[in-house]
Parts: sequence; C-alpha cells; structure tokens
Amino acid sequence: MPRTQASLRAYVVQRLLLTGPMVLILLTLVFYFLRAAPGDPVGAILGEHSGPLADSIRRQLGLYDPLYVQYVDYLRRIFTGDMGNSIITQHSVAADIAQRLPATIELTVASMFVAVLAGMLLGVVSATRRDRPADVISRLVAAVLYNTPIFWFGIIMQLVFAVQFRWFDSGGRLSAQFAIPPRVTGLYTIDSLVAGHFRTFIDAVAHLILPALTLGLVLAGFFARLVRANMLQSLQADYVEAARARGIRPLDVFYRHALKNAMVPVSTAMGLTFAILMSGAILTESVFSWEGIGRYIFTAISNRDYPALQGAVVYYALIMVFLSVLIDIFNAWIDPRIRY
Amino acid sequence: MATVTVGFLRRSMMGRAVRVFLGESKSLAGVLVWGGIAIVLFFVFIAVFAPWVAPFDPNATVETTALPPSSTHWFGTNRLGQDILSRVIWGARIPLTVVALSAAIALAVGAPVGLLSGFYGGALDRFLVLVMDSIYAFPGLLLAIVVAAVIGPGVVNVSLVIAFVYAPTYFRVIRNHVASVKEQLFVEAAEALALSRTTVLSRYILPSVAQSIPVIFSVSAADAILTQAGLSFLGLGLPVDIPDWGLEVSRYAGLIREMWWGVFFPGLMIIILTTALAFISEGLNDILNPLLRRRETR
Amino acid sequence: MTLLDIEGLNVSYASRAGPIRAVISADLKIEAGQTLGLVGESGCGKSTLGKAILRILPDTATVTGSIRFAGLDLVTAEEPALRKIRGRNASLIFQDPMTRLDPLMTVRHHFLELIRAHEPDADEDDAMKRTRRVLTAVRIPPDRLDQFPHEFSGGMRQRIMIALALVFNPTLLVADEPTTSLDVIVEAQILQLLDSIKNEFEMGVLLITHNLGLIAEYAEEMAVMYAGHIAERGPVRDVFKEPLHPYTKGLLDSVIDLETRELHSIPGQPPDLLQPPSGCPFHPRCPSAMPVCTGAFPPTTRPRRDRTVACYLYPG
Ligand code: SF4
Repeated sequence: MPRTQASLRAYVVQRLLLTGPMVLILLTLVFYFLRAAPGDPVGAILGEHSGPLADSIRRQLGLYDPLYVQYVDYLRRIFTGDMGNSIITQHSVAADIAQRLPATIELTVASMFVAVLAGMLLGVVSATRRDRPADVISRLVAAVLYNTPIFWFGIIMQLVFAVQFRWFDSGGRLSAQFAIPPRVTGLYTIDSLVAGHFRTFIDAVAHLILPALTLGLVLAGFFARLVRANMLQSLQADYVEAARARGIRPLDVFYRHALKNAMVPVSTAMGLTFAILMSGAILTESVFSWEGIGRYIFTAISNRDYPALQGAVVYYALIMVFLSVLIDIFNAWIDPRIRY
Repeated sequence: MATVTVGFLRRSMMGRAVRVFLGESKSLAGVLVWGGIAIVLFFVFIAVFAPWVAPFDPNATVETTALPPSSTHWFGTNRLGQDILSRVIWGARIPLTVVALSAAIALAVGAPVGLLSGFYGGALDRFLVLVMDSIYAFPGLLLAIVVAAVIGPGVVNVSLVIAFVYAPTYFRVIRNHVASVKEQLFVEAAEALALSRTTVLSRYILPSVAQSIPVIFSVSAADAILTQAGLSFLGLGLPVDIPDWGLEVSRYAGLIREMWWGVFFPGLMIIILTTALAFISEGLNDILNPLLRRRETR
Repeated sequence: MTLLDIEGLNVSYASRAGPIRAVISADLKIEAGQTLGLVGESGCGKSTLGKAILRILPDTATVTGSIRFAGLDLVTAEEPALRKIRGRNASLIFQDPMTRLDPLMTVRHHFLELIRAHEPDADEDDAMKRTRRVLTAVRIPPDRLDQFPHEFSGGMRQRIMIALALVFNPTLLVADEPTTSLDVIVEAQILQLLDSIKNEFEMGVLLITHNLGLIAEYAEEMAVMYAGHIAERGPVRDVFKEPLHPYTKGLLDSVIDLETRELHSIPGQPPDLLQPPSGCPFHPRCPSAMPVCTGAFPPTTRPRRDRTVACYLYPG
C-alpha cells in the first residue's frame, strides 16, 4: 500500500504544478480580451461617448498606462483578491461575488445530483437494452434534453409547474415572508436546517427544485450519452467475460466490474461536465432570478458594468481550474492506472 | 445516364461514403443520420426561401394584438400583431448563418494551427496544447459572453465569437489526429524516401485528417446553435429587431403567462434543429466508430 | 472415467446477415487427468466451443446438443446451476491475460470476489490462506496481493488467471490459446506449469490452440477443427504418425516443411462461416477433392482404433 500512496502524492504534486501555467493563460486571455481588445472597453460601455466621463473612467481603470504595467497591475490585484469596484453598485467586486457564490454552489450541486441520477439511469437502461425500444427511447430523451436551450426549458418549467400547477415556487431563493437564515455556509437549505427553521427549509427547497431540475435534466442528457457509450464498451470488456466465466453473479459483474469501469471515463469527462454546468448556470440563474454569480454576470452585461464582469469571469476561471484539479486527483484515486 | 452516375460514385471517395450510408439506411444509425439530414435541409430550405415560404411579412403588423395560435396564424401573433410563424421562419436564417460562418472560421484557424502543431511537435506544440486546453476547459457560454461583450453585436461578430469558442475543438481533434497519423508506417516510409515535409503533410497526412472534419462539425454544430441562442437570450448577440429564435424567447419570457406561444414555438424550433444535428453526429459516430459496434461472433 | 462428454453440439450466432454456424454437430470426450488438444485456424469455431462448455457465449448465440459434465447437461442446465460450476468445477483461462483482469481491482479483491461468489460465508483469513496457496503454486509472490493488474507483466497476469482458475481444484480446465500473446520463453514456463498442475490436481484439460507444436508436447488426445466441424480425432501420437484427413495432413506438412509452428501454408482462404462451401467445407482447398465432396457433408467414420474422421476418403 505505501507504494501506491506515494505515487498518488507525486501525481497530486505534478498536477498542481501544471495548474500554475493554466491559471496564468486564462487570466491573460481575460485580460487581453477585456482590456487590450481593439475598441477599448470604456468605449464599449459608454457607446460612442467620449469626453470627461469616459476620460475619468479610463484614468480610474489605468487605461492610459502602458499595457505591461496594466497587466502586472492586473495580476497583482487578482492575487491580493482585489477585483476593483462595480461601476453600478460601487461595492467591491470580490465582496459581491463572495456573497453570491453560495447561491451558485447550491444550485450547481443540486443540479449535479439530478444530472448524475437521471443521466445514469437513462444511460444504464440504454446500454443494457441495446438497440431495443427502451434504448431508442432513452437515447431520444437524452438527445432532446441535452439539446434543449436551458433558458427556454426553464421558462416552460416555470409556466407548467409554478404558474399552471402551483407545485413549486419560482423566482429567487426564498419567499418574501421568510427571513434569510443566519449565514453558516450561505446555502439556504443547509443554513435553515442548522438554525432549525424547518419551514424556511421547505420553502428554500421548493425554490431550488425547479432551477435544479432545469439545469440538471439538460446535463443529464449529456451524462446519459457518456454513460451509455462507456457501458457498451465495458459490458463487452474481456474482464467482464472472465468474471462471468468464474461464476460471479450477473448483478455483481454488472456493478462491480462493468459499471465501475464505465464510470472512469465518465469522471474523467467531469471537467467538461462542469464547464457545461457553469455555462448552464448563467442561463438558469437569469431565468429564475437566482442571485448567484451567473445572474451577477447577466446584470453586469445588461448594465455594461465592465469591472464586475471581469471580476466574475476571473472568479469563474479560478473555480474551474480548482475543480478540474480536484477532479483529476479524484480520478487518480479511483483509477490506479493514471498515477505512475 | 444512371450507370454513368453509379460508375462515377463507385470511384469517388464521396461515393464510398454514400454507399456506406445507403447500406446503413435500415439500421438505427442510418435512420438517425438520414432523418437528421432531412430536418436540417428542411430548415435550410425555409431559411433560404423565407420570403416565399413565410405567410406574412415578419415585421408587418397584421393583427391588432397578441392572438393565440389559430388557422390563420399557426403559431399565434405577438403584441405588435406580427405573425410568429413568419418570424420563426425568418428566424432560421440567423442560427444557420452563424453556424456555417463560425464553423468556416473555426476550421480556417483551428485546422492549420492543429495540423502544424501536431506535425512539428516540440515546445510550441506543447504551449499551444496548453493554451487550447485552457480555453476548451472554460465554460463555452462564458467565453462567448466575454468576447461578445468586447466586440459588440451583429451576425458576423456572433459568428466570430462562436468560432473562437469552437476553434480549440478543431485544433485538439486535428492535432491529435495528426500526431497519431505521424506515427503510422506510411508516413515513416514517406519520410524514409526523403520526401519533403510539405509533400508528406499535403499528400499523406492531410487526406487522412480531412475525414475527421465532418465529424467535428456535426458534433459542435448543435452546441454552436445553443450558444448563439444563449447569447441572444442574454441580449448579447443581435440588434433587437431582427427575428431570431433566441431573441424571441427572451423578448416574451416576461409575458409567458399572457402569451406562452411567443416563447414556446421559437424554442421548439431550436430543439428540433439542434436535436437533428445531434442525430447526425450520433449516427455518424455509431457508423464510424467500430469499437462500439456489437461483437456478433467471437 | 469420462469427465466431459460432448455430443452433437451446435452453436450458431444470430447476425444481421443471417445465422453464423460456428460449431456443427461436434463430438468430444475428455477423460480425467487427460489433455485434449483442439487445433484449428482462427475463426474455425474452437474458441466458441470452449466458451460453450461454460455457457458464457453472448446472447446472440444458440446452443443445441448435449454437454455432460459433473452429472449435468450444461446445454439444458439453468443459469444458477451453471454459475455454481463456473470457476469451481470447471475453469476457463483466456488468450489475452492483459485485459482479463479488472484494471480497477487489486489481485486480492479478484480472489476474494471469486471465493465469496461460491462460498458466501467464507471468512477473509481463510480465503487469503487459500489464495496464498494457489499463488505460490503458480509462483507469484503472495506479498504482491495488493497490487493492481497493470503492475504485473503479461506472463505474471496469466499466472494470476491460472491461480484464479485453480482456487477450487476444478476437475476441468479450458485453456483457450493461453500463451498466444506471450513470448516463447514465458509460453514454455506457463505450459509446463499447467502440465504439472494438471498432474497434481488430476484435472482434465481442453487446450485450444492454433499451434500444433504445443499439442505435440502437451496433449494426449487431439481434435482438428475446420469450419465448425470436427474433421479428425484421435491420440496425438497416432495422428501425427498417420494423419487421415487431408486438412490434418496439410497442417502437419506446413509444420514439417517450414519448421514454423504457425498454420498458414495451406493454399486458399479459410472459409467464410456465413456462407460456408457446400458439402465438405474443405473441398475448395483439398488436394484430394472428388465430385462427391461438394454434395453433402461426409459422415464421420472410424477407420482405425480410437480414431474418427469426417472425409469421403474413408468410407465406413
Ligand atoms: S471430404 Fe473430400 S474435400 Fe473433404 S477433405 Fe475429404 S477428400 Fe477433401
């Protein structure tokens, strides 16, 4: 055992070392796009206006400095956690984002849960009944789900389940009559339980269900395809046949060998999954007035609030990189072949 | 005449592909591919011939107010009294133009860079891979938002944005393909014969790599349409008065209680078109990927 | 004592292009403690026959005839009964050890899983004691129990597969091309190991191979398979001294003439199982083919003691 642990540790270190350049590349891209692109951002924000206002904003943003000075300054600020102030709210962008992050986490975690559950179900049904009607139907459902525009799906879900049937609430994270539970994690569902406010908890869940279903089901379409393709391969794998030849029960063969091995490429694709999840979160939050980072970005775009947009994008980039490192380490832990 | 055509088809590469797909026309994969192609062609048709196909002028006020679907207005009318069916038909033009234009741009940038990077390898290759992978790993819509916020609205600009998001996909696939083809015997043999690098590249590697282009296109086309629709919905793609599916959804999202048809039909069109594209790519994948084919003997 | 008795075995696969008949009315017998070599070109149905014995063919396969083993007819036996036999009374080892072990499982877990599958109440200490015993028998150091398959070489993985096959002292071992993907030195080691284990455990072995050299060295009885049919059967020594079937002659000639151990110098192509030639499937390649050979499949006759052959050159 000590050998494998040492190699896992080496892998983690190596993976972390690779992250540095990756973060730098993303930050540089964001910088060049938002600061150095032709047609400076202030012009983009204020339209064709120039004059004292534009001038003062440019000076405030340091746009008259040479580019490399701006770049170094930009990196320095990011590493000290200073993203500047939102033009509209005048709050520090970092504080704005820190306040909204838990909402996004709550939504994405719940959606991921839905996606994994529904996606696995569809994928496994498909793969085990290959080319039979159940497979055709599952594949069709998965394809339609994955190719549904999230914003449209969200609006229709609202119409059907919140307006028509009044099963769930929609819009925001909590009804007006409930007080926001004292902040522990920032996730209302957890905080309300911690505080023992059971009715608040029910209300928070009722608000969470529709957005989580919207985002989760679309992602489930993606998952289902992935699971199906990998199950088809692992069900035909030589070790599955060999296990059967040793008299292992079919259910055990299925779960212990086929399903587990099929999950390896699925979890390797988790980085991509998160990218899709984050894209989807922007649209979902916009539709459901969910006050997370996605909605912050949406508002920043509508208000042409350019520092807020930049800050949010940088945060997103950092979260993505952090998640991808986490995922890779998780994969190395699951699959002994990755680390050596 | 018919025999001449058949003879020609036999000889050409295209013909081989066509025969493979005709042969598959009874299998599920074949049905997917052909069904998908038929739907996409249908949309291309109504987009190209929108002035003749659409029953009304998409921007004309033909009713006094928003009306639910009826025999005169299949998809109803909006608040300005415009016919939604006509707007949906004209609206097919934007996503189709954007998808074609963006694929062309992404290909024009991603393919040569991928080709050279994979062929020459070395430090530049490693750097490019790192850059492209960083972009690739980033949420596509967010990337599109950043670029779109900078370069502003318009059909060409949106195409540029989408191209920027999908160029890394072309780069990755082509680069990896080249890198693996390079290892193969016939390339080594060609190099042993001291053929120039350009000759090896153009005569041996390019034809093999060209095959993966339709696959990448069919895989990323549906995503490209969804991204374009997302941008429109967020108000980042187009001037507001253009009929476009994503834009229509966003315009009537707040009125969903009063006129569901204003949101429902444009979105439905997006789903049908993207699902058709996905069918094509899934069918192609089933046919071209022998790994997933059922082992019937052994 | 007859350990395994196969009579009139047919296996066919359903495919889009029609049924593929992979095994056609095959008769075979294996005595306890004996090795039967089954030889033929790839695609002749020999692997299918091996898997048919343990009934682990894919769903597309249909099996008829009878396979009598351990007091059961494995063709008609129900799945739970078959499951008890697999890995316990009869084991199977495969051609490609590299892909036969689950890459996500340690060696220990492979053994634990196997033992628990057949003895749900087995406690771990006892199971590990038995594991160490068989690992020692195949000369794998038991302290490597907690390693993953990718940490072993191909030869070692095949030894692990053999050890897995031996845990329950099976009476029958089906070895399907057990050494084809290994190099010659490892091949000899593995086969000698199998041979000594066979004697030690009193097993019957069905050695499936395309390599006549291995049959000459390790088998007592042999059967030659062509296009799903058993062409010829008999004691190895007799068959090598006096091959009866023209196909067997061709095989042996190619071995002697070329001093290679591969079978590729019979002119012509192996038949397409989807559309096999009419009558005797060997007739397009047979130097002694006669008009009658294209009509119906030749009856199996017994021209010598302990020998059977299916060829019109040997009428009843
Ligand atoms: S039956 Fe005829 S064709 Fe077949 S092996 Fe005998 S002689 Fe040759």
